[in-house]
Amino acid sequence: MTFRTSLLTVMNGLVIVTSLFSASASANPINGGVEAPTPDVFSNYYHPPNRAGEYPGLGAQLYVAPRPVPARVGHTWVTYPPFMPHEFLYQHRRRYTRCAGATGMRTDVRAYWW
Amino acid sequence: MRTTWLMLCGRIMAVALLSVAFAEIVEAGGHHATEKRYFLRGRNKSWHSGWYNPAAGRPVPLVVPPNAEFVSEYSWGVPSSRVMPLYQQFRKPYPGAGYQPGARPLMPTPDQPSDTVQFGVHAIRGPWGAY
Repeated sequence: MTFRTSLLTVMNGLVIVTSLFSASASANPINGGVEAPTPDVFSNYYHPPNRAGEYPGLGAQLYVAPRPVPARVGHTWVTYPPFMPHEFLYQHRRRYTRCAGATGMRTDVRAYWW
Repeated sequence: MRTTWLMLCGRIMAVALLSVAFAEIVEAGGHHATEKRYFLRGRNKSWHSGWYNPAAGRPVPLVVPPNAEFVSEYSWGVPSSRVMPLYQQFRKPYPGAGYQPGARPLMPTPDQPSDTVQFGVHAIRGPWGAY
């Protein structure tokens, strides 16, 4: 094996290993990944009511508020979603981004839970 | 000398490459596939059973971390325990009215429970939070 062949082998291996690691480390926004849309402060989390066999099905909601109510009714909202208790259930990190319109600037917030 | 060192590096690279490829194969789609499988299998399943919690008057959801995968249930008899996959998870869109009528009413916890399911407390995974 010549020096040139060995060098090529090493470089190829390096490229492939790098691509594999980068593929497994990439974040997907729909699986609890790092990138997330700006969260809605009026929303709640639910489980739909599915019947348990011949027994009735009941829905469940994560928080007692907010509930889906008409717009004219008073609302309850969470002012700072990163402090919501369900975020502390597992170790993760996230980056919240808010673009500043046509200025081209944006604000990034990096949140870590551990 | 330099060629030998490069060959050693090449072998190390090959081992690293093989181990990474093996890890990828073992994971078989990884977190994404598991999430999708759990979502699809839990779509039409109920989070509770036929029993309700008498103290609450209804089945009580127990929030567990979203990376929990299984739940243990215990009972009399043999085998006296079972490990069940935990498909249910809290999600974002409001699913509509929170009640579906059934043929029989829910039952309260019996005086002498024979299974932990009869206590009417059932685990639901918390949301990932990003969606």
